[in-house]
Amino acid sequence: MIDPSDFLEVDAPVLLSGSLAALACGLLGNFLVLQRRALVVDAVGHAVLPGIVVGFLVTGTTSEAAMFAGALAASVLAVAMIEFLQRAVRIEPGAAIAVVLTSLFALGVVVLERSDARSIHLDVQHALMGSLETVVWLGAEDWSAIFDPERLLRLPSMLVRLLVVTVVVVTVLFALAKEFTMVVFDPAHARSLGIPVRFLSLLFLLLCAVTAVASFQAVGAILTVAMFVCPAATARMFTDRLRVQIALSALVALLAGASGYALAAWAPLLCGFERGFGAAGGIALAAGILQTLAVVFAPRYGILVRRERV
Amino acid sequence: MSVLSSVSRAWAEAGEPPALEVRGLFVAYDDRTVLEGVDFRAEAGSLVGIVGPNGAGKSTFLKAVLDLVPRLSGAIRVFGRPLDKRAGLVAYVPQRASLEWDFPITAVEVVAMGLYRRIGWFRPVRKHHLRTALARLERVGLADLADRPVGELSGGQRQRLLLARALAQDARLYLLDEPLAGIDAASERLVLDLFAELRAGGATVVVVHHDLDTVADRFEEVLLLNRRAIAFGPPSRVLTAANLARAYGTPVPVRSWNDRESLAPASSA
Repeated sequence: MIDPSDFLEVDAPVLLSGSLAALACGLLGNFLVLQRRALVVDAVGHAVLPGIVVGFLVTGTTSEAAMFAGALAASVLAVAMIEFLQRAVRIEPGAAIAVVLTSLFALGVVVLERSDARSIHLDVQHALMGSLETVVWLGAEDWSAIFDPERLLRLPSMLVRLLVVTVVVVTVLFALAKEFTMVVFDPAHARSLGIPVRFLSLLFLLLCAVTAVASFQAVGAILTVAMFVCPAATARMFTDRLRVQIALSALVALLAGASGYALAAWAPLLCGFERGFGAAGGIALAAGILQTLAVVFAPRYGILVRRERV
Repeated sequence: MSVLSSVSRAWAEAGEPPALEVRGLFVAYDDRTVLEGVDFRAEAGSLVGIVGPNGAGKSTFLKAVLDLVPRLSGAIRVFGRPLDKRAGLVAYVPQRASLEWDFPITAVEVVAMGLYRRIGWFRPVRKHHLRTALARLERVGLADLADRPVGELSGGQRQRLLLARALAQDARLYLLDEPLAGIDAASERLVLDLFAELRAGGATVVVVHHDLDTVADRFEEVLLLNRRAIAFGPPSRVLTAANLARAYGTPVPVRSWNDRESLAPASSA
């Protein structure tokens, strides 16, 4: 029997935050992977470091809002720099991402070393590794909390942010799926029809940046890449229709979120360990396992079937 | 063909503006000029080829005409209107190789993209849109493959698919980049028949073409391009040994273009 107090205060916020992060990232990942630009997220992830440090230096606080603003500004800057290098200077996409990723991260390291603020180090660690375990819903002792507006107001801010981001992502993708598909499949043709390709590409990258930053706080900058890539890539193994792929990727993302949390929080206990491990790691690991299973066993594109056909 | 061209000439005399008129087009990538003062004119209802060596700026010419690459200068008119008023009049078929074919989308869904202006922003593709798209696929002989993922289509089928998408736009001017490159004979036959059909319906077709040997049979007018417009007019007047040498930099074997007065042995073709 589940204890409602434990579940609502500790388990549910982590489970939901992790799953929403996976869902929002995973949905966007469909288009990002098709554009072969998944590593943009990695660049954004590294850019978060100087963003947080500068955010701290400017505001003097390690408040969540300051960190979020700093990280967001840095990630938008990273996206802009990559676009600039590709378009204006004509650097090959992979190289443009690598240059931006390393130089922004290096900048962060240098500024971090120069500033002798101890407290910021913890936040940096959280940004890179995620801080899902710090998400708790205090005061949610029983099931009635779900319908109690007063206690709902005390929902952890990270969870609320991820909820808002997910709703925005779903709405935008729902409204513009047709446009994004045309832009990714054949940008020249889309432009010839009068579709504002550059605007939509930028809008999409901005959406990715915001989602990535919200997700960094939960699962960390390093593991967020897995959230963007794995659900879409896993779903691609099963279908040749984008709409089906998107729906499947959402399912895979939620499955990774739930099973990842179970893997991290409960499985070790069942095996006799005293404590579980980090949920962020569990979710990324689950996503990786699902991906591997798909690559091996998928009905048409799996390795097993392909081998048989040869 | 002569009937059609006389029709288009009659229209021109009646004051019908040309389908496409380009004057003094200059385009540069970074500091390298790609097009230097190109003039061009396609009468409504004509079938015009654009030929020239690799890197001559043929694709760039089409893209500049569509506003896909920035122009340094040059005036472009589509049916007498400025470019920003061309909406719905022009359909573009980019080079097949420039697309990402490993994409989770079916043939009929690609054709439905041509209906974009009719469907509109934010709106989903509906059943009746897919029915229209299917009808266009039928015209290029691909109705059987409507639900195939595009990655499974052959080169010739992909080309026909892009044509079907252009047909879905119901345009009056079609700009096609290398639609006959590397496709099988059956697809080529089909594409050429389609051009004839389009013209019979009053549309104008401008085609970037790679194969000098077949230009004369297929196009009533041709632009020989190598950064500048080397020559423009009927193939028999454009494809002379002197013009080709100027365009290609080296002497090019010439077949019997000039009304059977061969300039070089026909066997070279």
